[in-house]
Amino acid sequence: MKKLMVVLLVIGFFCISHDALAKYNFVNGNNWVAVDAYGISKADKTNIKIMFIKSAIEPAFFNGRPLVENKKDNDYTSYVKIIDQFYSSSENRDMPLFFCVRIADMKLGNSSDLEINNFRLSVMQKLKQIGLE
Amino acid sequence: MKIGTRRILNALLLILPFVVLLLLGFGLRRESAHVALKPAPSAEKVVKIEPQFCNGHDWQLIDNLSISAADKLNLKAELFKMQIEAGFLEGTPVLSGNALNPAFIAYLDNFYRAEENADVPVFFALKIAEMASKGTPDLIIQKFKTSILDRLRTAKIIQ
Repeated sequence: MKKLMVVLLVIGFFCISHDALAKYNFVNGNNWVAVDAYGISKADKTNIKIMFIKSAIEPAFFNGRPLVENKKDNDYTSYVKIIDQFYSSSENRDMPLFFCVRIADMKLGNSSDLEINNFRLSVMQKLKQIGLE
Repeated sequence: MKIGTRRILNALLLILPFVVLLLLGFGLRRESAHVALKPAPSAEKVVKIEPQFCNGHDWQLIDNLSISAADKLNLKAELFKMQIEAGFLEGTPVLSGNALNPAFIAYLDNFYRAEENADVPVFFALKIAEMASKGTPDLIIQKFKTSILDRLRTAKIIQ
């Protein structure tokens, strides 16, 4: 009876954790594109998008592992432009914004399209493997 | 071998470890003196100035947007979620407990109403919110906030 209870508890735990993970949605292209739907000025939209980028960068920066390496001065608008372009393709919408900022940084750092595409594919593959995409 | 020579050799062997230790000690002293003479690296050269982070000014900007209150709340929740996610994906979670606690947004709203807190990055404001939710005394929270601001100002990360 005890063994049965333990087995049931383990199965229940895996079901709940898998369910919780499956329902989790990252901040991604859908959130990014939703900003464009707000009835506000273009400058405000850009500001909101910059806030998203800064939020993605902050934890990595304060933990000593900067996410971006190719930022010039206070300029995040170049990142916004690249991410806008990236998310304009519906097949990229599921890519978490965190990785998208990294891709934008790679583009600004003159990484080749092949390198960027390999990074994108590896991220998507990894997320699929762990059931987060 | 003569007895006299053997005694001298024995004495030399006995003394040898002390001589080696003496030489090592002398060498180490010279090395430490050499290191001490090197000029300390200038803080100006090490510090890399970064632009502002997401903070109370951004929070206010959202409040001033001409969108519905629900949309404002949604935006703040998404920014909050972005921070949590970035910490998780980067490998060091921002918060230790209940990550997506909606009460934290209300705390941040209240926290950023005070002008003096506007420069605190959201990253640290979230940590403060978590401390408050765990019942940390106000005095400790104030000290934490002051030390964070001091350090960020010293490193010229904020003004």
